[in-house]
Amino acid sequence: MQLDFSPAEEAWRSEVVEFLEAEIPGDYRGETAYEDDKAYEFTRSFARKLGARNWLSLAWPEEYSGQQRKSKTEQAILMAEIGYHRGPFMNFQSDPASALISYGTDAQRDRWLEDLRTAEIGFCNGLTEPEAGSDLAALSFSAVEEGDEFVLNGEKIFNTRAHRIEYMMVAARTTPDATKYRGISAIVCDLETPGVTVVPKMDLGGTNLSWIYFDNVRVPKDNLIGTKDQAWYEALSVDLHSRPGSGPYSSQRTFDDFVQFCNQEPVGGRLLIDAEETRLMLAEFAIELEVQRQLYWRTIWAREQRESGNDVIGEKIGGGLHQASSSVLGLWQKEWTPRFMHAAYRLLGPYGQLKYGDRWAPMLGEIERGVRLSHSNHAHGTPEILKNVMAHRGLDMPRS
Amino acid sequence: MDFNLSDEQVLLKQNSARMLADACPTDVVRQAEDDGDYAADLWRDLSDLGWLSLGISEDGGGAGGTIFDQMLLAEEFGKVLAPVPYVASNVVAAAAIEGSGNAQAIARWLPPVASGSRIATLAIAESDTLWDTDGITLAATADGDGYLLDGEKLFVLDGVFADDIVVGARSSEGVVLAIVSTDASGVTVERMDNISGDGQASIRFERVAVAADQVIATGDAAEQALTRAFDHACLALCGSMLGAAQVGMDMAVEYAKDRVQFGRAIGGFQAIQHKLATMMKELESARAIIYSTAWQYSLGNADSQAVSMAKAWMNDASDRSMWEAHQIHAGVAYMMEFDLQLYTRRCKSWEVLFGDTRHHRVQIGNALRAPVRP
Repeated sequence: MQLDFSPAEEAWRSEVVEFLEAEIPGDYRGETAYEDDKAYEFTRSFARKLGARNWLSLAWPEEYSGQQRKSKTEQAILMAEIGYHRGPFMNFQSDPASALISYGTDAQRDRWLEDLRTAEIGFCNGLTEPEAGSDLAALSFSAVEEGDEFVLNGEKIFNTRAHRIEYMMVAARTTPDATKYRGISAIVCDLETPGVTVVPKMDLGGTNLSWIYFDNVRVPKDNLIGTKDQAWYEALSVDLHSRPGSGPYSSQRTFDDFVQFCNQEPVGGRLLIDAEETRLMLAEFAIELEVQRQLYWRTIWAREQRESGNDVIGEKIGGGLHQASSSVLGLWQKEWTPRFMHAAYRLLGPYGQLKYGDRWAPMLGEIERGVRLSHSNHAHGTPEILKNVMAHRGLDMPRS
Repeated sequence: MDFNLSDEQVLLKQNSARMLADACPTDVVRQAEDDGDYAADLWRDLSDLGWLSLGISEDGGGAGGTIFDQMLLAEEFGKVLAPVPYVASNVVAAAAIEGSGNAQAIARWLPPVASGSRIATLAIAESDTLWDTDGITLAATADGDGYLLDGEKLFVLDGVFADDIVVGARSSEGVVLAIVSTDASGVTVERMDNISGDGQASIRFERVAVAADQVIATGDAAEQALTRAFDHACLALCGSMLGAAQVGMDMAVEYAKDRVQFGRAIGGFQAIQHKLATMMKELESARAIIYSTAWQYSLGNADSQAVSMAKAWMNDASDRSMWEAHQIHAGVAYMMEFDLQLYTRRCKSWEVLFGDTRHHRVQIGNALRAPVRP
């Protein structure tokens, strides 16, 4: 066992932290990261700066990224620190870029990869539909071949990025009668194409989610990524799990801010930290953050091993680490954040409800916003869906 | 980073698991409990294999190694509920003796512990204090070169089986750590009948004479030795609970696949699946924090705070997982003839020894009384 970062990883972490501390203002809270134009420009320029350093393409093969590939641990260090420093990380490219790298043609890669790498353009995924949420394969969005083009018709909803960026990789049904998981294709669509209507709607977390309507939208057949009808097994399978998330580190930051607040700012005439109730509550969440931190690095390490072709053998690590380990981490985040935010809110009494900008708002409104945002824990699968995955893949339970 | 165990550690786990599967089926556990004894044959076998000397220094007659190795072994013992005084003697009492830094005491008292020929334990809790050194009131009154001890200790792990007691007392100068034999004049050992059916004891000391060479540490040295013993106790108990709770979960997984109701295996119902998924989350999390903490502690990179986090989490994870294991088994596991209750009762005891969840949360919460990262 060796559970510390290597000197090279420590040096990388320092480089990342130095960059983030220089680029992110201390009072930045990201409330409107994608919304008002000024905030959005900050988000985008931050992405360009990451791109200029090749930090958006750490996981790419060297032939496309122009740099020596960073390990999963190094990728995770970047994500963890961006999380801790509240970087306005907009996932401009990651999943569609992986699909392009794995399944695109040389011509497609020439066309888009370099601009994706530098955040000059952004891609989003077009997955969710009104009747296809957790059950993604139920999608009915249609793409019909006509000459050299696909004609797209349908509706994509709950999209976090479509109102701000340039392209969508749409999951569309190209063979309507095929069985559920077959007959789906991944097609890139420029969102400026005639017939596309993007309707942003405000969500509880304070950002826009978009409903995107496609009315006889014509895109070149060249925009098909991978094999027709096989997207479920190709482009859509370069999973959301291949890229490390920021683990518990953005939660850790909010927690640290709250501990500091409890120590320094009186509420109702006394410091919250002076109450044992507060200290016990903080201890409970501190312990759970440490648990998640340990689980996070263990999981990252296991992925790195698998990627390098080394089996992770249960016996060698004392057991555990199922196939479904990333779901375990995901479940933690989905359950921890709402519990913590609501517990902190309760301790703050009426001050907890005050928003960013109000002169009485504790912690620049971080808890008020956190309570609202915590309702987004359905995204990429509700906790119940993750538990189903864990029971099926991790414990071999019969499917319902 | 590298989360792989060393080859020696893998072998230790494999060999001990194989040996214990043969030598410690649950009827051995039941028999020991019925007899109110530990499994002496098993203890001898463990001694012959040299495993009892693991984690004890060579100066103390041990094989070297660390608390991490001991935690691994405790996990295997936990999986079969091995009814032996391993944690009390070879982990906790040994850590206190070793932690005293007293070379003479180590050379004299540790070798019989390392070989298993004598069983030692640590007596610390009292009616007014539990797992900390500040509250110790058992009196050590100066008497010649030594002391006279008066008072009563509670929740002494495997005290019923012990030959030697490492006891924390208070003199006018501070904490005194002494070793007393259970057959010494004025020592009365009484079983504390508890949920696990183990050998916990209350031990009364009435004018028990302690010679100078039985005093292994005083003052700061005594407090440091005790802190080390508490930490090692927590880590070993975490190993025991992890092993036992994992077996409880494995039993529930198998039962959910086998038990058919309403025309299907109950594991096909989401209500059952969600319980199992939560157990998996809690126990994988427990393994992650316990292994990392024990490893870092063994290198001197983790302190009592880190240990408190691990113990608090393991307490809760074990409590909740064992509960859900019963919920999944329902009626069948309510019966004493079914083995799950053996695991449940021991986990419930380990959960409250050397710090329940609240105790450890208090330590963590108090340490948060300072600004964190700027």
